[in-house]
Amino acid sequence: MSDIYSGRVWRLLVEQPARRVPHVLGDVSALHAERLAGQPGRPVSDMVLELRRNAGPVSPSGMIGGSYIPGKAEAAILSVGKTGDITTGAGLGYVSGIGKRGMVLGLPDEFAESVMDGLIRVDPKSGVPAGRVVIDRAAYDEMDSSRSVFERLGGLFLIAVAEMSMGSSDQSEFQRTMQAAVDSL
Amino acid sequence: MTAGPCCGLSPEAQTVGPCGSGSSPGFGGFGGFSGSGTGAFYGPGKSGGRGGVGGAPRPDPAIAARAANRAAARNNPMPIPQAMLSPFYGNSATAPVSTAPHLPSHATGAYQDPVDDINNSYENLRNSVTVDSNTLLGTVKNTITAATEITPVSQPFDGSDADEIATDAYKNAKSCEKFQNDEFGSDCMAMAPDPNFDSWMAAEANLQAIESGVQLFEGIALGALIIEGGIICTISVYCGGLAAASSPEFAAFMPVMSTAVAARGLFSLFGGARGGPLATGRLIDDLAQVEAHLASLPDNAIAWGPNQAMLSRLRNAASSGRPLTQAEQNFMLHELTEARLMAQGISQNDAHALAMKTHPDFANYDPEVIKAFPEEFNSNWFKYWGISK
Repeated sequence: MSDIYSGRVWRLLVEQPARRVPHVLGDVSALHAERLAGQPGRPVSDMVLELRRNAGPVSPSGMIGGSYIPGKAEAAILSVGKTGDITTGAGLGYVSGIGKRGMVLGLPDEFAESVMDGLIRVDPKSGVPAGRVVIDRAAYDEMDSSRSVFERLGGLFLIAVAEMSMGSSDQSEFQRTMQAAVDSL
Repeated sequence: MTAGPCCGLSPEAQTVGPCGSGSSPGFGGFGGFSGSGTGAFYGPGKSGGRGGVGGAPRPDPAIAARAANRAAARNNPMPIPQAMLSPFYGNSATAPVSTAPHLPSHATGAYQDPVDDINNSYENLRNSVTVDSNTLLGTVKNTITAATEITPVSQPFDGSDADEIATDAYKNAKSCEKFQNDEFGSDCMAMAPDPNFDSWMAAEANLQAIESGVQLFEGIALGALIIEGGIICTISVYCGGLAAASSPEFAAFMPVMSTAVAARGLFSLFGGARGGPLATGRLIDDLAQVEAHLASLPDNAIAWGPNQAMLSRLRNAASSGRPLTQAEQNFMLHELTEARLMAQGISQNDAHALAMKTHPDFANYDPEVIKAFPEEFNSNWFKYWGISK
């Protein structure tokens, strides 16, 4: 599956399984949090989300990817890998699936915090499944990426996981959910 | 500064083209300037030098660019800018009227001696079309320091001195291995060591590739830059930078440079750098163009908070006459460049990438805007401006 959803101002790419995006984030340096969840759902692996907006002088953008592993009921363990300080002039290791520009592989600490914020703030009504959600892939733009982009990405990732693991197996239902999520941004 | 007899141009300007006319031959006149009559500038100490475009590669891009500047100025001065046709009286574009017409002006206290008014008016005009920091234009001075030549050379500048400057530069270069087997080798062999030799040689190697483009560039650049006659395109940025651009990048580099210079000529010279009444009118026009451009972009770009904040600042500057900050100038230049490139059929993605070359990264949003939207700007922006969240 590789779909691009165009909202009012944002465009979202969802790929699952993902293209060959290397796992650049490990458990060694990661943020962890726990939040209330519902029942365990179906596992989700290798899902990547890329979010981008054309804002003229800059194009806020970012990418995260990861997996969901079902676990005990009523708790979701959230893990977000991080790679330290944001870089300048690093090589581009990820080719955007939306725009032409490449991005730097990794998730600077400032963005990792925002991803975690996004994961935590998702409305429980979205049906967060119990288990472990791991963000172990990411890419960013040294100029255009921002905290607000990655917070949105965190939220969208959990919504996608919830829909994919708890919702119907009908792909069109998943697409409707994601389109609505992008429209609401 | 005293206004000269010819439109107030500096002495060099007065020698390079007619003034007092509101029209010019147009850009098309630039086409062959580099190939005609300027060969003497390019030869390092040789009486005849090389020919123009059709001849051998020129030994120094900055000297070549400067020679091209002069040739272009002679052949095709730009129309006299609007600013020069609209005199500036003291702090106003409105002609002064004495509060006591029956008395000498110095007796009224309302105005200084008329001679002083004229000088002041001219000075204001001059300020409105020059940029002090990050110089785009500068007054031709009686000495120059060659920015991109092999060796810093500082001596009284005169067209006839160019040959001598080039000769000195050659003498101080260090190695010619790269050029031993080509026609440039014999000149190069005479050079002595110089710390800038490698970069200079790289520029030389690229000069051929950019030969045709540089004429276009110079033509457009001069179109924007010839104004007071004291034209000096900022050598390191536009002339030297152009010549030093690597060949593969040049194809992309060229259109943005010419467009950027044209945009800067329209924007910074009259609207951006100084503010003030003359500049304000132009800024308002440019701002309208920028807003229209942003509004035409997808994803509701114009509504993005930082864009709104920048536009608001610019509107305030236009209404108050406040000089623009560096970031505001960069923002305008970026958008005007991008808009013009897109008007030429270049995609927004590519136009954006090229417009990024008109200013440093992270420099097109004002630090006050960045601080106001910390969620929209990552720490690289804060680092660039030396500000904290």
